[in-house]
Amino acid sequence: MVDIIRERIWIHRDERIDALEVKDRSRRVFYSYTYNVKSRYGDWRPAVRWDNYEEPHVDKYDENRALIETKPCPEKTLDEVVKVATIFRRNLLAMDLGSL
Amino acid sequence: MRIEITKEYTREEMERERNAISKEYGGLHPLSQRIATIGCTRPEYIDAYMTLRALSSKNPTLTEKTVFHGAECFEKMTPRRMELLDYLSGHTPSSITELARTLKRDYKNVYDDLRALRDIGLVDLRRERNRLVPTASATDIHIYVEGGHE
Repeated sequence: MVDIIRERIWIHRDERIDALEVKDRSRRVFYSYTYNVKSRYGDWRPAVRWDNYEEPHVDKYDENRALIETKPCPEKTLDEVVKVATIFRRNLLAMDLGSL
Repeated sequence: MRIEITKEYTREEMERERNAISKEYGGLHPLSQRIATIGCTRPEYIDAYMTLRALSSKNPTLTEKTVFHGAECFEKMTPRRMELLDYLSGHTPSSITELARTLKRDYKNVYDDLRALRDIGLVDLRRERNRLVPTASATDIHIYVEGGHE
């Protein structure tokens, strides 16, 4: 049995986390947690993303959606990501997230 | 305070979702090839690929959740929008005009509220001929206060 869970957590009116988890018999086999920020044009753009595609890592994006940094990162849970994003919000972009 | 709104997909809805992703991204094989080329530069491709792969497995389930914390709850979920959701959970009006007339509200205000609810994943607006048919997409709403007690 494969379960797909899509979750949208609102951090602020212009910030949210879009999460995707795929579980195989309750075991999480894939996750992606994307901290998205609303642009001045009204669309949502990724700023920071944790996922385990190929290996657990964290990506940072600039305001034009361009990937600017990829770093290996220990596996994260959604609760951990929500906590970090709620505390640091846009400062996440200036932080060394690989060591968190 | 935290509000969690949940939608459990039916088998037909999952099939529609699978077809929609396939149509947008060209299917599993083209998606995997594209990801091999672009990597994480387009994260939505990876999410689409993993979702499509899971939806193509035997007996998948798909759950969608929308979560609001603190003041955000009240900004997005105004009493008028809650009233709309409540009505739509038990009725399927044939159009926004009919919904506005039933609730004795201005068409434009109802339309704006429906769009706001659609943007946060709580309402579907399906086009039928020349009108939009609103339906509630949430199956459960939970309100938690003080550390997760419901």
